[in-house]
Amino acid sequence: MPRPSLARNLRSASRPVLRSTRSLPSTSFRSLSTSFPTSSTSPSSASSTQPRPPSSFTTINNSEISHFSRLSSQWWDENGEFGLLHRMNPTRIEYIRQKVAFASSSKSSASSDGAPEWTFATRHSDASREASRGTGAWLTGLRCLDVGCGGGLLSESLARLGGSVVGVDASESNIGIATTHASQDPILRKKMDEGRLEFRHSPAERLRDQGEMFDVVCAMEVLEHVDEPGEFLKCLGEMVKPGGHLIISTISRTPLSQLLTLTLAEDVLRLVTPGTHTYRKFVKPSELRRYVHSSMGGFDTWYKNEDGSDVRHDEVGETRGIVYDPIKGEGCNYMFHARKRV
Amino acid sequence: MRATPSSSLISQAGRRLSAARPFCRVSGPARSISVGPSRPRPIDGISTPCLARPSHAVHLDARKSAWPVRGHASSSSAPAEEEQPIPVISAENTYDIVIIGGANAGLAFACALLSQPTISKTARILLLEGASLDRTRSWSGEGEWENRVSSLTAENVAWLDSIGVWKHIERDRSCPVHEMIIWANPSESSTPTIHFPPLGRPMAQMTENLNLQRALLRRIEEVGKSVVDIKENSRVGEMRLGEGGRWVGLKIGDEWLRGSLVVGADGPNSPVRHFSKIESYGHAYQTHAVVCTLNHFASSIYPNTTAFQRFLPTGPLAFLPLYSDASTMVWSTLPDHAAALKRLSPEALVAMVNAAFTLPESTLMSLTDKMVESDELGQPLTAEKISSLIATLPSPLVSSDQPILPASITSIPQKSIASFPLRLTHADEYLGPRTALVGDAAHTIHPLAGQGLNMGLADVRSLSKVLERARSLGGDLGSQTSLADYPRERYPLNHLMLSTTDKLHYIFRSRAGLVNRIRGTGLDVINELGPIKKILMGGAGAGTLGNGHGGTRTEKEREFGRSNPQDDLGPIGGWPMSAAKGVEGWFALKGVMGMVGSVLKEGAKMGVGKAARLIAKK
Repeated sequence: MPRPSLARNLRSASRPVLRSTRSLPSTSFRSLSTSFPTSSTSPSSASSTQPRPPSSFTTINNSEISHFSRLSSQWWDENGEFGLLHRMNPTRIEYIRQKVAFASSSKSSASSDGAPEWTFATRHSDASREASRGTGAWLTGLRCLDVGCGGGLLSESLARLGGSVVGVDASESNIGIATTHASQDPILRKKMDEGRLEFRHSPAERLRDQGEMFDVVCAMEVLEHVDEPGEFLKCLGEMVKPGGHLIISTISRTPLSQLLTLTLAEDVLRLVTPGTHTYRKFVKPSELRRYVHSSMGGFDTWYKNEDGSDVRHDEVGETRGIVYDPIKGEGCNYMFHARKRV
Repeated sequence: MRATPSSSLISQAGRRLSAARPFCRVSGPARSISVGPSRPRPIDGISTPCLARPSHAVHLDARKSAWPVRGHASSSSAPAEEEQPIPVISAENTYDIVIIGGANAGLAFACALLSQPTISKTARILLLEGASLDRTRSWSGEGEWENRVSSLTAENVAWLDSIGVWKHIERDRSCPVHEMIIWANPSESSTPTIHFPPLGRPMAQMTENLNLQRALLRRIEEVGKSVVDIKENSRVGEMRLGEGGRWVGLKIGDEWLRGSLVVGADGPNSPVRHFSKIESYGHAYQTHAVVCTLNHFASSIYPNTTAFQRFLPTGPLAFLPLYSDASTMVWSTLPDHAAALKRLSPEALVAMVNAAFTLPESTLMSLTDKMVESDELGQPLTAEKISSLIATLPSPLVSSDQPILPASITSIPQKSIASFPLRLTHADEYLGPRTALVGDAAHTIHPLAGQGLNMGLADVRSLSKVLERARSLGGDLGSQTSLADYPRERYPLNHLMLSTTDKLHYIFRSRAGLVNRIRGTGLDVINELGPIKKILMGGAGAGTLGNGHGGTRTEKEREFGRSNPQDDLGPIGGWPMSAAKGVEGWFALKGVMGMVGSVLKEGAKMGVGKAARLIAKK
């Protein structure tokens, strides 16, 4: 979910360094690019052999948190500030469904619903076989983490699909909204009472330090709002159970994304509060894939991409553009998926 | 029937909502929040977001209007009474989808949902019906014909078959329509006719509504035991939006139920539509439809599979086959004519209907005028009087291009005669706060094209698909985001059908010179033109007739078009088809341009005449 950093009227692209330093006096500014060997956004990187941050360290950006806290009452207005997110949500879940529910059962801890196996005799009924995959409560038995859950858009959907969901957010008011909203729905209320849906006011790092593990770790539109995306990604990766899935959605750093998310959505159409995004913080798909390869264990930890759509020797996982139908490329919003080896 | 909240049920512990307080605020036992262990403190200053529409309670007029009793929608809004909080609703009374109305659309919607894998595996569905379903359940499939008969298009029959409903249909009581003849007799010399020839498969199935409803009910009982609960004799006393607008509470008797989504399949005077504050627009036709069952002799030569429709200046008269020796009639006519027809004795009605199918228009019109006259005097015509009148009335010679006529009627069961007013209505929206409208609740249509039920079934099919997708992606079934695709898909199509039917009604009724001439030419031109006929047929009967556009072939077509039995049977297509379509299209274009030209010419003539007169005046 979008998390903005500054006062509403500040233009994000104009003074990034000043803003970051001002809002984070206690942490030195390190560009995300330090973690990505190929990135060229900021030459001011520190050495690549940084010690692991102390456990009290979080990648949370305080100004981002205050921005989203201000907007938290609008999370569930389907026609408001987060209307675009509401409309993107089904697309994201569909991506998760394809990755998690369709995962071959040998490697999957998910009990894939009884989709009939392919046999020669049933070779003509591919369509109906496809239709029966990923139906029902296809997340049943899986523990899911939604990092940066905001108002709980994704968490609620995952919970309805049978998952046992933990939503965490760094903004306390977001957690309040998410809790209130979910408890008003009779079905979700029941899940909350059973402990299968909970919202915690906590940074992701604290969960990792507590040793929590999940089958599905999601961070939707969070990566572009944290400090040190590299540390953030490592933290997420460590929380994925063997055989589990890491699913990330974020915005690429291209002229197209600048045009769509910054110029159009924020400045011109005002669909999103200006200041929500910072161009400098966007991450390109290739950077993300390469980072997972180089710094998060590579193919020893993660499965190679099976689709054959982008088989590369130094990149892990699959990325896919999601925005709207006319723009299917990865130039703007995209999803990333990687699966941990058993 | 206004339901007064019974105070005995509702806990009064000071949980009164002030009228100004939006319902989504937290209050009352049903709304207290208690959540998991790591619960944050309540947040002050942040108002709970709720649905965009203001919440409201509506005391419903629980009278469920059944089909023939089409009334005008009363737009009564209940005064805002002091609202009692909804008592705690148990898990058994919490449903994902509540369907209100157990007639065609409601039952079909339940079956459609059962055919969707995710919904049938994970959702709890409740079907509420105000009356008893015993009559439907115990319908024996023999004996007297019902007078409520609907035409099911081939497309809908195929769909019903695919979801396992059609096998429960009493096949003897469902009559295929292979052929259709539509004609008018606007002047003595002309009888423009459209003839839809048989295609080797039925373009529609005439089916009694009870037959369809029983099949739907059987299907629900067959596969939906644990998924669909049916509550009969349950009238909804009150509907209210629950906390945060996350559910709709329904008061049945003294009990409260709730659902994430409430689907209104509750007929033209839909209480759900009133609750949703959705206006509907439209107009009443100055027309009532008289329906009855027609008994006639079975022909030894022709099977009774032809539908006839004659356009009279008072409205269309349709003869729809039910069986070899029985058919049903829908006579749309002026309200006083309809009343007079209903007051005729069955024998006199037989004579009148026979006359209406056979007499030239001018003669028939003077006969019906006589009928209304003597009805007003309190002496309805008798059968003998009608035959003597026919003999005395000036009867022009019947022209040689008289169309094939339906079988001569021998008797009409008194019980089957009924009439109802016709209305065109279309709801402004199909979605309300956690509500959706399907079928007659969303639109009512003139029966001349036989599309009312078919549109309802298409709605139901579309909505069930939309819900399946939302459910498989974890969506909140009642949210606007989940449902938005349903009106996007159905509204334009329904609107097109409604307005086309409306225009047809007025065009075919009018006997004014210009319109008349165009219509006469139009019918003939349409009859000569394959493509237009196909479109009309697609609308007026057979959805899957689009085989010419590349569907799969039926066995018969395969045999016919195949030179070598070993040939691979692909879809119809290729250059011969394109060429044929091209030629056909050329003639179609020529014909249409000719028609347009003649209209313009007439118009220009009139315009010039008027101008000349104006100048002359000056």
